[in-house]
Amino acid sequence: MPLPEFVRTTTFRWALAVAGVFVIYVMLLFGAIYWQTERYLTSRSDAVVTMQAQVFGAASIEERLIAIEQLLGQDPRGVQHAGLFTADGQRIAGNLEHIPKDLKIDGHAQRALVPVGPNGGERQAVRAVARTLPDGHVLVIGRSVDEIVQISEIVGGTLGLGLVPALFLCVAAGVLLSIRAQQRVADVNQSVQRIVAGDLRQRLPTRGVDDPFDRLATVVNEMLDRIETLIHQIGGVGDDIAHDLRTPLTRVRMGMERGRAHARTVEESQAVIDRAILGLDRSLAIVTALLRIAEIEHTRRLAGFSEVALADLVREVGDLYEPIAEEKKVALRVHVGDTPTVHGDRDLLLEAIANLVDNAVKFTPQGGQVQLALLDGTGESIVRVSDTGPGISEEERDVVVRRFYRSDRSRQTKGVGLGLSLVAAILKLHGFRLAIKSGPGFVVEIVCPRTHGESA
Amino acid sequence: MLIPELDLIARTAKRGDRSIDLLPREFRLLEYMMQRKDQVLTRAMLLEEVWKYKFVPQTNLVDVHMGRLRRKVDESDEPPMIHNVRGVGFVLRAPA
Repeated sequence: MPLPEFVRTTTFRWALAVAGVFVIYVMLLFGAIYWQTERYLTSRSDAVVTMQAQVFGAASIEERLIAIEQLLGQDPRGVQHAGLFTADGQRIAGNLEHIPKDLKIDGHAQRALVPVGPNGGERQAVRAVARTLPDGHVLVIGRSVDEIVQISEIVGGTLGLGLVPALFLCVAAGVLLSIRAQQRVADVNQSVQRIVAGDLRQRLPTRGVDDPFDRLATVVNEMLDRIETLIHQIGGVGDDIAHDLRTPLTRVRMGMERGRAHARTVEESQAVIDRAILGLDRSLAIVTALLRIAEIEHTRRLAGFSEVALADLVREVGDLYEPIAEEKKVALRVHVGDTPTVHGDRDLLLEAIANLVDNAVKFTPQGGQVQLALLDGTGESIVRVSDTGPGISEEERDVVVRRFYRSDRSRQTKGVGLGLSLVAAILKLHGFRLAIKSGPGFVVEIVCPRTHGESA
Repeated sequence: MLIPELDLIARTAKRGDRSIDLLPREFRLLEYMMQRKDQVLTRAMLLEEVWKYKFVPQTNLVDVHMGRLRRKVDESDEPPMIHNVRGVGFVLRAPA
């Protein structure tokens, strides 16, 4: 017969283990109580018999006989044993026929066996003391320790009675808790099944109490929130890509349609085709850029990594963009500070810096200024590109790095809007940081933390 | 007719008797084009080979640099050697 399901849960097994430990504990407790009680009663009996032997021994013979008589007479439970013997062991008085064989006559309390019962067949353990009196008699005083056995029976019985409901409680709690845990797991399971089936809005149930299970559920729910957001973002990026590709392609199509209907000469046809080629080039540039970002994002570092002097890169980019800035009537100022080399891929870093400058020159209106600077920060080198263009609002800052996002104000300026995403991908590969700052105009920084060995 | 002469060690260029004052990058661009004369070079090719620039820039980077080089190589009274191939790219040809 298969075991019921709750038996297999961890909770139930723990409950059983606790019950087992409890039983062992109670048995140890019982042992300890028994041992302590026995010690106490034994030492008390010893004290009593030793004192009695001393008192009786000090008395005169007559008094001694009366005292023994009294002692045995006032003992309804029959726990007292006493005997007065001659030096050669003949009984003079008392309820003992002989001096117990194993009892040493030294005045110290010890364990001894004395015969009891109507014909002396049974022997009983007692604490006894025997001493030789000044007149040569031997006095034996004993006291039965049966009490101990009785007490232990009472204590044991009580503990045993207490153990049964305690064990029952343990097992019941185990069953209850495991059924409860099972119920929660079943609830979570159901939710997860729904999520797996595609319902991303589904969340794990919580009870609003601060227990570990609830905290776990809360964390998982936060993760699910994040995943949901990301999936929506990816969906959004896909839409953006489609949209940004459709615009130039539609324009190409319309242009060619119009050209087919209106172009009369070869030259006119060529002009139409040239425009179409330009439009297709733009679409291709978008695709190339996307592939390039994917390529960088999947690149493992190290391959093309070496010591790179940022100063050379900054100068080179300045050199590359100076004519472009000049043509746009934008002043490009380059400032190169003294910084150590960084560990990275030279081409990729050049591309990143060039992209930032490209962006800055593009968004800066005529007569504006673009500054490209290499700064030596504390523990980091900073490549800062700032411009006097329209800048960016606080809310736009995070979104701006996302693929294809372009600040609304710059929608009219042509460009594929992938620049910052590409820069972000390159920096992520290097473990560098992209900082976008609000200020007059747009300020963007590549922050390269210096790690050990790079300053050499 | 002669195409420009380059002195690769002194990094100087000459067209006939006229010496052309080139920036290092312009020199490299001209050198690259002379090595592939009569071939049409696309913007993407030039970017990748001359500038080691794998991304497609959003500005007309190649055109601006080519424009500067052309103004230095082809002066107004000389027959042009650098030609724009519409929609494709550029080509360096010895003047006919």
